[in-house]
Amino acid sequence: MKKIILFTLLLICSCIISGYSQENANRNLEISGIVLDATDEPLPGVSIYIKNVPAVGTTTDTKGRFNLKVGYRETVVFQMIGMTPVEYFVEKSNKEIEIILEDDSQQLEEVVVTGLTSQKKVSVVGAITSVDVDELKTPAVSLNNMLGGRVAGIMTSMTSGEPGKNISNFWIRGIGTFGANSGALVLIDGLEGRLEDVDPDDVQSFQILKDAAATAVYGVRGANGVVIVTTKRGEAGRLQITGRATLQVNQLRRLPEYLGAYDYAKLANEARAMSGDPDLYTKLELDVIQSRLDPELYPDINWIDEIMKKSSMQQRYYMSAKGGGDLANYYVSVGAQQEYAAYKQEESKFKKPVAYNKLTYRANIDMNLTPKTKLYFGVDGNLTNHTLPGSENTNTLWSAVRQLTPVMFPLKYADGTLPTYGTYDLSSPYTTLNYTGYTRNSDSRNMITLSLTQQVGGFLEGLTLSAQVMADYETYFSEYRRLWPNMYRATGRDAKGILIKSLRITESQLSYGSSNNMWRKYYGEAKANWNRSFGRHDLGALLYYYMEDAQDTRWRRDGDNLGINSIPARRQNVSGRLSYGYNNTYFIDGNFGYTGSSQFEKGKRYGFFPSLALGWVPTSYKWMQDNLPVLSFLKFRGSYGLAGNDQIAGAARFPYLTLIDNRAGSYWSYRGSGITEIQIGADNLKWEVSKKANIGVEANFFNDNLRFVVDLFRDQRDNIFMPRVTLPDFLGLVTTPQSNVGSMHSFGSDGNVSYFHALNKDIDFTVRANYTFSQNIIDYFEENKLPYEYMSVSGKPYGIIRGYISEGLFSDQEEIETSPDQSGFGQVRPGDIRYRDVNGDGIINDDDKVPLSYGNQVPRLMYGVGGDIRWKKLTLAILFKGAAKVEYYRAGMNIANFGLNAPGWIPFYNGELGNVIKLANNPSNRWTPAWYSGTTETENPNAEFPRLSYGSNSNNSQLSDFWKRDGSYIRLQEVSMRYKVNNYLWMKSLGLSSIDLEFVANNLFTIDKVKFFDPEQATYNGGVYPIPTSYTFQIYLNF
Amino acid sequence: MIGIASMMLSSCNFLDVDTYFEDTFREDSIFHSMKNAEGYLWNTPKDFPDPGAIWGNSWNLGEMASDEMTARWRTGEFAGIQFTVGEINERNVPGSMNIWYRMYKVIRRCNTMLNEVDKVTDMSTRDRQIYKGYVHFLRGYAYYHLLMNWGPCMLVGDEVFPNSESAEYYNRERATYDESVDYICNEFALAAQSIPSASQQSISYFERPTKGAALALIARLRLYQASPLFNGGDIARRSFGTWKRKSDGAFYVNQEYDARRWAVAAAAAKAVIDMGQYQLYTVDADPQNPYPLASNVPTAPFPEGAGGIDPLHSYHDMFNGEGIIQTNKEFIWAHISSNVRYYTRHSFPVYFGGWGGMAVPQRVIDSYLMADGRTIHNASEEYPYDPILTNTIGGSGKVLGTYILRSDVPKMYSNREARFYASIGFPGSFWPMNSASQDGSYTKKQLWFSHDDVSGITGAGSNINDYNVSGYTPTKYIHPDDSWANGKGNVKSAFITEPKPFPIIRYAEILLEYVEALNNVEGSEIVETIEPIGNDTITVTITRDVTEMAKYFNQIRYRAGLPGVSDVELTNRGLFQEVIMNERQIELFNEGYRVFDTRRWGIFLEEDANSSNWRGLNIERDRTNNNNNEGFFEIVTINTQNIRDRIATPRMVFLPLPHNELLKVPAMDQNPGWDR
Repeated sequence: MKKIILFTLLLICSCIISGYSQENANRNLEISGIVLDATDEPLPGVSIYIKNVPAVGTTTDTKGRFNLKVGYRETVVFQMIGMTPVEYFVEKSNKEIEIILEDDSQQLEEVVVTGLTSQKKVSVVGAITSVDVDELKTPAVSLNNMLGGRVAGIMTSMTSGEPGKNISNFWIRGIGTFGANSGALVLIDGLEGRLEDVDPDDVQSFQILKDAAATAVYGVRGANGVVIVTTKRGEAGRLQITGRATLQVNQLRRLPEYLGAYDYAKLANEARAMSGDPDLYTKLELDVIQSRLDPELYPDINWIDEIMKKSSMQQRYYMSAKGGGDLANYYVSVGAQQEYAAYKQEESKFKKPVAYNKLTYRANIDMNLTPKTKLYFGVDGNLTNHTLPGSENTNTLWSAVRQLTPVMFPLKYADGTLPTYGTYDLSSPYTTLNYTGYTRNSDSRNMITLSLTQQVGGFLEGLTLSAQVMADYETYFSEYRRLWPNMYRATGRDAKGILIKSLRITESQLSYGSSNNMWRKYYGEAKANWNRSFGRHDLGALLYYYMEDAQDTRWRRDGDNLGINSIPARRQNVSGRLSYGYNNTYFIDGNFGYTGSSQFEKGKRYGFFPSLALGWVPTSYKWMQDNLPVLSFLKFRGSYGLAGNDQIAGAARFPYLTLIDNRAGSYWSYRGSGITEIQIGADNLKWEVSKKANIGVEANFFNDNLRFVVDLFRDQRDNIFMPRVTLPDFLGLVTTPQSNVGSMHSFGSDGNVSYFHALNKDIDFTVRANYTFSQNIIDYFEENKLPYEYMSVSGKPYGIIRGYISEGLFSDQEEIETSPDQSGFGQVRPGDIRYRDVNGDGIINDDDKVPLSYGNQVPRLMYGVGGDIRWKKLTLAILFKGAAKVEYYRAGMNIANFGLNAPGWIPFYNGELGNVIKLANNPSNRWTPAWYSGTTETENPNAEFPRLSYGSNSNNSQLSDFWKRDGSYIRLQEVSMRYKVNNYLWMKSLGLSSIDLEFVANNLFTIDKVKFFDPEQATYNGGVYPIPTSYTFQIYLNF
Repeated sequence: MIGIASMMLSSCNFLDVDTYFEDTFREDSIFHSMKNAEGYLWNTPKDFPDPGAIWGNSWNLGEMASDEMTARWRTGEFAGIQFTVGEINERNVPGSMNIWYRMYKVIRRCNTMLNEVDKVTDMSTRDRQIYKGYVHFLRGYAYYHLLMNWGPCMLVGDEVFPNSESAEYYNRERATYDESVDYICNEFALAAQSIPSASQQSISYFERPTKGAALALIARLRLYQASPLFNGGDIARRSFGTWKRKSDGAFYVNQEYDARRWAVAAAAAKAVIDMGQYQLYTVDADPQNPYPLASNVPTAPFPEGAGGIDPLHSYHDMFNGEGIIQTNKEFIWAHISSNVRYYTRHSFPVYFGGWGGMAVPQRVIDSYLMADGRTIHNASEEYPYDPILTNTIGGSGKVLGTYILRSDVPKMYSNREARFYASIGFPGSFWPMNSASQDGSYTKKQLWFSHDDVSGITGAGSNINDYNVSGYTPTKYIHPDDSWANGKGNVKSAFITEPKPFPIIRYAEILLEYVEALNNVEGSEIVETIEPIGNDTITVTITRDVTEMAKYFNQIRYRAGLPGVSDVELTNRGLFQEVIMNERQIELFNEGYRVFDTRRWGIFLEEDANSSNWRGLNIERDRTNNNNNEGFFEIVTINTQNIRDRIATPRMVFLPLPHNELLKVPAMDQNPGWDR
């Protein structure tokens, strides 16, 4: 660290800082005239300013005319986005100037950021998806949420729609490893960051690097792909200000629908009859429930209605300013968002609304120290505030909804006291939301970076040297003010009809607590980049070095007296690239990364990750251009290379070290302290290596109006870290060491196609589509010998779900008795699910569980189809997002941070704690025995539900394909309408150059087979905050 | 730029975490100083179980799997009982008994120490020798436990296993029983060459094993190795006759009788004796309150006779906390045991604050000799045996030194040897329980264990299993003053005399081993043994020397206030073997030997589940006629599920190896009769 700072200082000192003398000239000359475009149409809104004095300037009016006072021998710049700027040197006044601005799109070659450097698009040979930044401008909570269906090569999954939790997970080309880290590296201006921390309007360019050729220079970090975000920089020119205001209404749909009290009670009696148990509710009680005579003892509560509003509001504001001159350019922005959850909360003491607020800021300052020396200073950061109920976790609200029945207890008793119920004295979600105080998590992140870039001339023409240092701090502050009210349980009414209730939970006084944590990273890099053309030969070279040092107070573990986990995590890397292109036709790229990590022992710290990529552009041949004019561009490219990963599951630090506790006990009359190993160092631990192969075709037709890109990839992961569970105990190891023994591969394809067509000057449209398909297979997973092959993890996709194969429902007792023994699940009755005895041993047990489907909530196929149509200044856009090859289970899943998913779907799951979904009320949806219904017709073998049971029915809640459903969906993700307002005189008087109006609707409908819940959340059975439908109005004011 | 980058990579120790460690925290620093090396050495025994954990949560089959103890309990705590009813298999090896992994942790540490200790710079040659001696002891002792639980060992040698090899590398075979015993004995021999003997060691280190302990464990193992189960013959064939190692076809357990092994065992035991550092524990007779000796007991001063000692206290005070552990010259190796203390509570009736379920069968009661050294079947007129339980002592009872026999005690329990009164709480025995203060209801009681007694079924309390099922409870570790009745009635304080010792090895065992081994020697054998004073190997000639046998056997008898063994018994090898076996039952009762003895002698198959061995008083009946349920004083088969379900099969000589370990090591054979 010290060395890199020194090095930077040296670079600064060695540069000659030449100032510019600013003379305050008398501006007594006047120029005026008209600005036209290439078709001689007047151009309104063109910025006109005096070079190096951007504060002095004007813009053209609606007729393209302008008037400006200037000084002798000053230069006036005419500038407009999308046009090549024109400079006009003033020596005398002139009132009849005619300036023609030309489109610059044809002049500028498209440039792609390919990791550390920019390359001409034609010469890119890695698999890189460039995302059209304009597409990212539609309103969304975070950039993450925009990627699914929009960007080829990305899989996303969002499990909750609740503010603060509604940030999608995303993976580049699916999940490639079962090791510790399957997430992509996100680089924001070259520095590791989080996508959700960037305001979409700050983004200048956005790239997804998918193959080894593109990611090799990142060495260690590139194994799971890289997302590169470049933020906007100031531009020489007049001050430009953009303001944005967004108002969004979120509407909750597809909330679970449960039975009302009367239906619930009737069905409960039926469910109990199925097992020969007496009625739960007498006829009298049923009448009371039906007529709602006693809302205290026999209430009828729809818990969803009581805790949820149907809609919630969100507002976001953003402002940016940019400008600059020869001396310096700047870009600053600040944004704020406030997002409320749709929970129904009453006014009460210490309550705070569940909400997520965020403030972001960014400042990019570029200083031109000399014409060839630039100093960049950047700061960005954010503050978030996440307010939750005092019980801290809103998951409990949703699990309560799945479990609390309508007749369990009222919101409040008539005297205003609060109820509890059951053995564990449960409180209601209403109480949790309103009477338990609040928890607030306030996180902030601040990053400061400084970089120096020097262009070298002479015979080293084309060489750029740069060095950058960064400090990144994140603090996590959490506090709560928590209390409980008195809670009572009613048990009946006395002779006078007065409610008998007893105090079950005594109120707790307000308690306060807080915690503070911090994460920080220092990072330094140095880069030498050389690009030069010699005639038809394009040459490029890059050498890149970085070092980083991160520390987190949360790494500390209890009992780690030596602070092993708190030692900074460090990495160091040298990487490079050599590229050569001939005549824009043949390209070859060689890359390498040589990365070291402190995770490994001396001698095994460094991994070498080379890659090679080739490209061929046949359309550069003249005969192709002559004979196949339809094909405007064709490129074949292929790459092969390595990437690494040093993360180890369980966040174990220094797994190679044998760790010692020198304060251990001592025995057999020894009086000193004992010494013992507490972790056995893993021998020969080395990098997890990913071998990535990619081939791709890019083709453009009809003057680039039709474009398509298709990539095929295969990613072989070897040396995946996993615990050596097969090591015999007789080795006597204190801990099970990690080793590089796992392997898996993933393969698939991604691509996109787009077609642009302009009918005339006023109307044009674009249609585009993309897809990502990814599948993985575990080649080796360390596990003990298993009795049956199908129990093994190896040879199957990662995250496989195992369960029983159902063979329908038992039709009668005789079938139960002649079938394999299922009594391990408790008493089995007709109407229960029958399972297949896979191993034929006559008993249904764990040995009969077979792989049922690929499992984690990540789909294997994701696609998007969309388009937009423009009529003059009005643009209408639409986007469908789809996912396929994904399955979910109605019951039997035990999901991390969620628990069992069966309650809420299987009626009366825990007896008195088990809500009943409306679907189950329809007799045709469930199996009912003839002895109960009087007709065999109700013994429906294809029913959605097995026979009812009151309380846990272990047999029917096993994970089996009985509960398996297709989770595919197509979602109308977005419909947007945009209208650009400009060229009005009133705007000029306000200093406005344009106004963009946008109306966006998200998640209007989905086509799927799930029906009851959002398909992306189907497996949770309504136990999570749904993904809302939202309507957004957004306005941009450009000054 | 390139230069700077490459310089940084090569010279910079940026990735080194070493600067964050103090030297003492590093693995390799363990062997940088003698202090650290010793800290590592003496942390190693943590994986050895409390040696006194032989009842509940026992680390081997333990007392509850033996035929000298039963209870109604069948919980996981009493896994020994689960074993006797066939509930234990390779997939549910009880956690407390499954010390496989713990012992190999010890072995790995030992191998690490042997590999590394030469690196310690501040250690003298002598210190290093002693250090290595202790390491060899620890390693041998770990394998010893493995051998006792599972038989033939997986010997790993000196290797500190790497952890990144393929599964094939770890796929190894077990050694045979004899290879294992030889290996372990060699470890103890190496230890004996350098660790201090009892006289060289400060008593503040009394928990440490000494040279005597190492030699004594060799003696124990050599006796086992000579015994029928492991030395050819019928029982070895029935349990292990087809059990061969795959690679070389070697029998895991010897199938050809080798008479010489008895001589080896005798020489090994004699080496301990010849150290001259141990003697049987005695307590001087109280002239005011002498313990009456039978007329045929020699009155010469101990060890030539029982003169001048109190036999009851001499035996009982060793176990009940009265004697001092550190200075007891009978204890070759003993630890203070919290388990011994805790499980005395299981012998105390619920009414007196215990859990009262430990029960001793009539077979054990009948093995105790009469006061004149005869068996109950051959009692003299002077000290008659009365099998009719309703006949009582009468008169004003009896006083044996400090021990009181009340007048209403059945005659069956009169005239018995002192060890009976020390070891067994029988119907009508007197419990002083003097530490239970302030409430007469909880002190100075006679306990009957009958249905109508506070110590019987009616006093069982909330857990219906908490009562004595035979009428006999073990009292060997209970001090007469001990009481668990704290908090009962007005009892504000009740004390357990502490610390309670557990004798891992005591001199009496060595004497019995020596005599048993000698008794089986045929002709004259020349064997090698370890010189008891120095460290050399010497050659000794062993013959079945009757005088020698009598000399050492009689010490045990005299200490118990009994006459010596008769010439008739001495001269008849078979008869004397019976006498020795019975003597071990009595002398070593409730010390954890019996479960292994019945196996090595080969009597386990016939005797262990034989209901005639599982009898006791009819505790479902009353002692009095108050409730019309009289009938307590009758010897009946113990009527409990644990006795009814009891089985004895050849495979039950060892625990099964855990299924999970066998999965990982295909070449490792399971013990015979058990599934993999």
